[in-house]
Amino acid sequence: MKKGQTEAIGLMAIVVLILVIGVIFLKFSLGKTDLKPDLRLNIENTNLLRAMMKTTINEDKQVSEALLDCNFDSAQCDPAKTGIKGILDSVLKKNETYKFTVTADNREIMSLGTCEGPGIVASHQLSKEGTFLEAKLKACNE
Amino acid sequence: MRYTRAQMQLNETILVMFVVVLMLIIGMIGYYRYSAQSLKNAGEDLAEEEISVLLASVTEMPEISCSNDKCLDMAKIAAFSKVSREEIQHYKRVFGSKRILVEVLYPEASDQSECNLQKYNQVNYPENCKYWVIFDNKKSSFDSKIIVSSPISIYYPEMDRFLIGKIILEVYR
Repeated sequence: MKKGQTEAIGLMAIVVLILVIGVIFLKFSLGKTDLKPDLRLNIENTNLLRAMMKTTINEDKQVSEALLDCNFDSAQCDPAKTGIKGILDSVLKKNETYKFTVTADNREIMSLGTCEGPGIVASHQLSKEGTFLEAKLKACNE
Repeated sequence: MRYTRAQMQLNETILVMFVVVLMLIIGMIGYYRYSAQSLKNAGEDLAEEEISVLLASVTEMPEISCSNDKCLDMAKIAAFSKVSREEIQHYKRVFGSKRILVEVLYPEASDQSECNLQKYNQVNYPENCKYWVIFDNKKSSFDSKIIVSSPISIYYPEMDRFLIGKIILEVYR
């Protein structure tokens, strides 16, 4: 092999090495995903659900009491729905949709909102006289 | 003018050294910029974490929180908005260059203005105002402003009702 050929191969080796290092660097620098926005949204959503459960709606009842009443008497569900819808419409931003569901022993007793896609879900448990209710709030950005 | 073989090789060496030095300089500039950006990002992340922790601790402050529940007491908020102005030096040391607001979200107030003790004592309260400024040490000139907020339950002892609001922390840097 001539001297010129050896030098050319050496140069090629250096170029390949630099390319490999560059690709590895790009992979690490672009591969980082920021989990904080999701975490913050999750905390906000949980705080919102917790605060909403305490909020006083019609007939001086808190939302949690209204949901428990709705489970025992379905006629009580409509006033609770109106109150909860009013709260969520006021509190959530204009570009946010939601899905609020309440289940009792795997039976859905209330469902509000249109958000069907991926979103951050917060849940809250309620209990009264041996019945357990789970309220879930999913917030989606449009 | 004809170059000798030695001169040609010298020129070649100089050219190679020039290219290598150029590459080193470009590499150093790239590395410096990447490090500076990383440091800036780390600083912003830390500041945001600090603000989130402060936001959580503000909601637990006995000056404004409910006695035995996770909520804010509106009577305490009204009193604290006055006290924080009177004892501004003390609270400046506690909070720094920040502005803390409590905004009522539900039911929506008909008046969007700031609340004060005068409005608080009127019959149509809480309809007559939207938000309380519970601490205000806004910098006159600042480079950046970070806003963090979180929904929270607000208790109105005079009505014995819980409404829903948002605590907002504005940080000036």
